[in-house]
Amino acid sequence: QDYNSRMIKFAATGQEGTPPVQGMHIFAEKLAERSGGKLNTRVFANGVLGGDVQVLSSLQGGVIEMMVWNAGNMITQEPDFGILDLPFIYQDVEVMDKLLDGEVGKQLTDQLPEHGVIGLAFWEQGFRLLTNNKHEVHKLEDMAGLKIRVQQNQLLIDMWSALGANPLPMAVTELYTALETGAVDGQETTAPFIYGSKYHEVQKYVSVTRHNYNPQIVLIGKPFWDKLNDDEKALIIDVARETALEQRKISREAQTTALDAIRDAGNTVTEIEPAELDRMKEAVRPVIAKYSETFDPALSKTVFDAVGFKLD
Amino acid sequence: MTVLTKLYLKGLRWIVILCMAAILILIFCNVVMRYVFNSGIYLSEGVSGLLYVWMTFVGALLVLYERGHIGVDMLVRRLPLAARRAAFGLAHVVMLGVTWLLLVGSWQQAAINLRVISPATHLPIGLIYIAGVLFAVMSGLFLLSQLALLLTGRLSDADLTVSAGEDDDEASRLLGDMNAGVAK
Amino acid sequence: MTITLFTGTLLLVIALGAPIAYALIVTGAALMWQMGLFDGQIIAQNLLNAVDSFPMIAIPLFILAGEVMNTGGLSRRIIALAQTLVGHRRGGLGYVVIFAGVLLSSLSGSALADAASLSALLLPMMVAAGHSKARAGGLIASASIIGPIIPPSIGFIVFGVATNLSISKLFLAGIAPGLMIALALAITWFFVSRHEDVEPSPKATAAERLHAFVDSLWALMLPVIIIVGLRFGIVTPTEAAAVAAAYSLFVAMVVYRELSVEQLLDLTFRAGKTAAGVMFLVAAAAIPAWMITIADIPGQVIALVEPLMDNPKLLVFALMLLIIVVGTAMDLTPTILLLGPILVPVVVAAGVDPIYFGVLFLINCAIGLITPPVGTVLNVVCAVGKINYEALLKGTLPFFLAQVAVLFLLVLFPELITVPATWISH
Ligand code: NA
Ligand code: NA
Repeated sequence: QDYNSRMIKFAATGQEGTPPVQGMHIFAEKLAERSGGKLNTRVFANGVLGGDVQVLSSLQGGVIEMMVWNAGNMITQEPDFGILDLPFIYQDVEVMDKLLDGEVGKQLTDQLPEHGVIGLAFWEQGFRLLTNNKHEVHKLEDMAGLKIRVQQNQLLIDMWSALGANPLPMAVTELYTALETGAVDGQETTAPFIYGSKYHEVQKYVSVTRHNYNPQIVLIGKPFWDKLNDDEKALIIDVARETALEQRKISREAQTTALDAIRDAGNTVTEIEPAELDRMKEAVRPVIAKYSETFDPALSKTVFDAVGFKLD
Repeated sequence: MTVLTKLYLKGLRWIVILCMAAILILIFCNVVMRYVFNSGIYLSEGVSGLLYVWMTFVGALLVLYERGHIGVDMLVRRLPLAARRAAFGLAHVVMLGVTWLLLVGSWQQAAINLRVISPATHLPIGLIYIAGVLFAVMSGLFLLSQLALLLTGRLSDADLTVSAGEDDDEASRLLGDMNAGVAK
Repeated sequence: MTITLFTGTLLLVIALGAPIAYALIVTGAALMWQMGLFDGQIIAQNLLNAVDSFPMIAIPLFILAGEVMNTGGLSRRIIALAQTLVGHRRGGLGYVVIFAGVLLSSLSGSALADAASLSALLLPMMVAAGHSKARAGGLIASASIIGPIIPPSIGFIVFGVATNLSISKLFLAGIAPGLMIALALAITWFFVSRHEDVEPSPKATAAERLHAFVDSLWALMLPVIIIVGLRFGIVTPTEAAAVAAAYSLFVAMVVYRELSVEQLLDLTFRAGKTAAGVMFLVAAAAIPAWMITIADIPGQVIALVEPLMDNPKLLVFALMLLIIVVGTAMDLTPTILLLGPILVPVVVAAGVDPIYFGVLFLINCAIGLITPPVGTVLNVVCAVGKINYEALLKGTLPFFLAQVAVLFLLVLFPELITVPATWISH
């Protein structure tokens, strides 16, 4: 095999210790080992190389080589990626693995080279949960009027509005203080991120809503990709996908251990009844319908059939 | 100062004022909306960030024209005049060098992000890099003109200042000139 | 090699008389060249994205509020009040600065915003009273860095997240040392101001005090609005800055009627331009910071302190010296992000309490905000107060030394941090 000596800067905004960053370290180790020490990766977590949007255009401009982030965020490049952010319809991770490793993943990533990046594999961050300081959230009505910090993403804003909550986009750097002072009542992210960011210190109630599933897309910049030979390309793809299997396993264990740790720290953890989850899904149906119009119909059909969701 | 220069400086002044006003109004109204109408202006943070970028680089341009950027000129001021001229020239050459890099880099990034719509503003992300292109072009032209004045011997010794250091009087004189020019 | 290139280029370009902002960009370019990453996009991205930050927008808004308060008669009334209350004491306004610094730090998480409002509001008063502008600026710069030490603190949040430590514990542990630094500043000011030839005014009568209080009531409402707004989570710090600007505009234009529309346009322009100068420098510093991250300069430096592992106090002492050196050239947030995750495991392995270390670390990074060549708080005070940079450095020196003394006192006696922290949390 023909491998040249190369250095890959691999960036993410998540903290050290969260599942995506754990995946980056696994990737780095495997790639070095399998290339005989030729292809070396340096992991930059905690956003030290810049925010997500900045790092993505660094990949496109050839300044940074690799990154991993929420696949749904690629909606800024291709609308089809928004399908991964649809709320409440993804519950079974095995179905998701099959879709993302198969036709759906391929259809999505095939659109990326024209945007200057290559999608190598899908990892995961897990299911997002709702936390707040006001009261336990058991059912749809409990969400009414809660001020929830959300990401700056129109689909997610529409979704929380449809649930009756009061979504407030806010920089994540201000979130901890905002939760502590009560500027917002709650926030929503995955259990490992809640624990990693210590939101449980300033929150009382965690509801296991699993409202969004966050697959992570592993990206490599096209300017760098075009410099690689075929052996190197094949190895990098192979290692990224092999890492996916391990990373998902770690992530799935981390969801449970992080939630236990949050419960042990004194938060009230509320499981939601399946019937209530269905009511929440009904509430966001108009949002799903609205955004589905922006996706490729064949893609929507494949995904909805696989997860057993009917639009009408 | 030519009519065109005055008009140009006046334009920059208005960009700064309007950006400031818009930022204040956006953020203040967002607070009011949140408490009075229980809803927010979703785009206020992102848009004020974009305006802040534009205000900063237009403002930085004006500060550069006024030689108002913070520096340490204690060494240069103690040099003989010939060496001072050399330092002035050399400083301008390296500043022009990085300005060129900024121009190229901003141009490339603007091209990459021209059609990418930011979820935070619903506007192209490329807009922040266009501020960089504009700053690089307009500051580069100024630095070039100063270098040309130096090389053709048309720069007075009093104008051999690159940054605001010890000589506050000189800085405030330049500042006063500029403000007077803008006001008229 | 990288460290030499960094320091050498920076000092050389500054010596040529170029603005510090440009010297930083040139330094970034030199590092890019040395590492084989010569690409203008790195400069463009870091420069522009550093400004596109919501928390930073507090800076122009607080500057605007300050300008409006100065021109619109609010500051004048507060000066009058402060004068009647403490003006008869020697150096009274200096204690007002320190007290306001502590107050503001309990409202905001950033030293920059504190520096902007303190220097916009209190510097003109001190100069009007006859204090040396540089000395007053130095005191204000030093008082501003209490901002990130007393909670809320963006610095502690970043540190807690980066090192996996409890932010609540860090917050609680920061209160006592923050107050100690304020006390140290007050003591220093007591000695420094004795040598200043400021004539204390005669003591005001009770009637004069009451009159001054009533006259400045509208102006005094402003800190109350900010305190209530932040304490009860009604606004974020940036929003508080907007409310402060809007409120002071209302009072100046509608209540006091001391601000014309023409004046308003002019000071909006001035505030915007001042903030632009500050932000251009902050943005320029982001370029070498990015390169330093890639070059792993901190990693190279850390390798040197490993032999000190079996003497915790000596290790912490050495690390504090290291951070002071790094802090001269780096901003608070990048220092935390770069050194925090590397140093915390080292000190934990040596048996040091990580919360205690975190507080020391943050105080040290905060002190870095007032050390040249890259001292962001110095730049803010310099630009807002229109003070000569070198004069400001001299003015800051005694307060800087007092803060370093407190820092090393805390290294020698960890109980000064750990004991009050347990009082507060129980
Ligand atoms: Na604070
Ligand atoms: Na410093």
